Amino acid sequence: MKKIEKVNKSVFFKPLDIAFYAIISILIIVLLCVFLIPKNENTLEKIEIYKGNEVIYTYDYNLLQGNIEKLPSETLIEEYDENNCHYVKIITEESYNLVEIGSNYALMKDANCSHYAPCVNNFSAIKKDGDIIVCMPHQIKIVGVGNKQNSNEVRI
Amino acid sequence: MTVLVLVMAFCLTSCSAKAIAYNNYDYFGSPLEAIVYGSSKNVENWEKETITILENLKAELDPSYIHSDIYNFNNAKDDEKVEISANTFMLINQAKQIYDLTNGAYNPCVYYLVDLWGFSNVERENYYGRTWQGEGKESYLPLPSEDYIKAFTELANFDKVEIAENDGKFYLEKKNTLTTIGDNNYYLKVDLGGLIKGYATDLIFEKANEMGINKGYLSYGTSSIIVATNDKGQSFDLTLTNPRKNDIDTNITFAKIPIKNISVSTSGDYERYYMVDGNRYSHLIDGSTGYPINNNVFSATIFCKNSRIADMLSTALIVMGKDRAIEFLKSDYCVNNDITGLFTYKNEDKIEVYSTANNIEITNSNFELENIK
Amino acid sequence: MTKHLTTRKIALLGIFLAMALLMFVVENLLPPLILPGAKLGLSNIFVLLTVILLGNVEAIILVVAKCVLGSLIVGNLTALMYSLTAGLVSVTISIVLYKFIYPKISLICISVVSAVVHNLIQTIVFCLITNTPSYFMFIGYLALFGVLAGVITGLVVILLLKYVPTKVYDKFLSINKENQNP
Repeated sequence: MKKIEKVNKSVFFKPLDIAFYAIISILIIVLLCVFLIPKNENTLEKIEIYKGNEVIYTYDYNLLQGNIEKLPSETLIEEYDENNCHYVKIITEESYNLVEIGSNYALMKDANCSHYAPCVNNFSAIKKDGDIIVCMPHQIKIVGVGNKQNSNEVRI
Repeated sequence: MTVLVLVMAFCLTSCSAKAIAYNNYDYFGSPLEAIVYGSSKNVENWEKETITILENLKAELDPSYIHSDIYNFNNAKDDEKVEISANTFMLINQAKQIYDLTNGAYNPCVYYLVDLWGFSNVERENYYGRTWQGEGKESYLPLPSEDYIKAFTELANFDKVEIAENDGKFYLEKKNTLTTIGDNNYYLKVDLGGLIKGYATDLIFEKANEMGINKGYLSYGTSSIIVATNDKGQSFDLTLTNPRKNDIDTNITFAKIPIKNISVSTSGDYERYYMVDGNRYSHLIDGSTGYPINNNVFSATIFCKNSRIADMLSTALIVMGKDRAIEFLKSDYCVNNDITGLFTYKNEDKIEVYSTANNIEITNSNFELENIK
Repeated sequence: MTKHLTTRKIALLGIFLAMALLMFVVENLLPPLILPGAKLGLSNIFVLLTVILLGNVEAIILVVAKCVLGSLIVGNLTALMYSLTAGLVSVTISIVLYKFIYPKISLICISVVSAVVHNLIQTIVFCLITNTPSYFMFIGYLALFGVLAGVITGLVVILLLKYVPTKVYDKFLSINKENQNP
């Protein structure tokens, strides 16, 4: 009965609350500043996959979600997760490409474009804004989009 | 606070119009990409002009486009006069000039050799009796036989092409190129590859300048670019790909050079290759031996105002090998035409970089600069 | 104070668990509000009620059961790792605050603090486990969201305690009578 009586007298607010609320408010303000500090490394914000000239798939690193855009006819996209990576399979009747999207990189994991698949073997992983990987026979291009702070670099 | 950030962001994005044009795979098998700065109207008009330029070039020079000059020439037999356009005439002459200048190191007639070793653009199952073995990174084509190599090396002779002008018309003619092997007849074919893309790049870039777009850069395929300046009117930082980026370390580049208003072209044995018994066979074929290069030169880069010359010379440099390449870079031709370059050469366990380029900075501890200016 | 786990207490715990699970599963199936991971956490109403009415150990049991069963039902086992960690830390905080500081603070305050802590821990563990540092930047908004969630759940708890007749609770917790006879 004591217990019940105690709780029955619960009120919505007590003066000592203010102390806790004040601490929480300061904490929240500090944490919100984390959000507003501009990122100064070259981090990826999203990965775009093109077929030909059209974007067929985007993966947003902030929302950790992939989005299938309008697909050209006869192109299929399958997604799955494995080992902390997100995989995107792009399939047409004749072509097959597998894109691996990791926490801070993307690369072409597999493709049946040719025997020495340059898209798999010769391109380095996408790590920052502007990096690309191209599978020319299949017209698939993976593009990294991020904050463009050091875009004065041109690589050959 | 958030409002302020948003206003600033809006300002920055609307101040300089930036356009990334083209992921076009329809022309000459490589993607054309451009990052230019200019008003959106100019850029839009320029994009349209670019398509016109590329379409015209395709009609004249694409070897797989039916009845282009190159298609006609490649499908002709000996002693058949093939009429070509003034443009094609100019380009073929330029190719011949560089062929002579580099003593055949640049050789556009290696068409059948490239095909023999499995590097032609159209993939198929059977390459002169051999098929691809293995899978993925390990896949390879078994080595061709000596007689094919010999036969196709004989075919790779630019001197057997007659380039003529008559009454304002231009002609190409094959002379004595017929080679028979394996019950098949082969006549000389040309693969102008990089030369055509370089030409396209030059034209497109010129057009941009005409239309008031004079900041930015253009790349056609991953190994040749032409740059003006960045949006602030200053040099770009060019970084060079480490030709052994998978074998040695994870550092993707090995050098950095500031560049502006120039063309750059790189050839490397890491672009397309396969391994057989520990030896690398790449798409860069030495027309005088019939074999892919095997001279410890991994990559070569040329800086030149003219894209097509840069393309031809970068291929030539890597085929030349170390000594000839050094001599060439120091030669009058390069000095007088403001052409500089560099190449990477394996010396035991480190890679030397022989360079006549200005302001090069090595950014990878596995590489050592040998300045040969 | 001896804890005597009567069958009636177990029954009440069971009801609370069922309600908490229901809330958890429903919230998981709804689309995320603005951000992935931002949930109202209505199941915490029952966590807090358990702390108050049934005891500390029971509350911890509830949290563990809710997280494990909830993750199994929803089908997301990796979620178990960060939601269980966050749940345990936040219920511990609720217990400590309720036992040592209450009634100097209101129940809403307890609810808000534990909700904020829950969201903070969950975000941190999530970022560490899935190796997505980019998600960390939302921590401010998630903490703010925790305040809102805490206020709502705290309000519901107080209303349930005030306006559900004591007779109902008395039935389950009639152990109190026994305790008064040493």
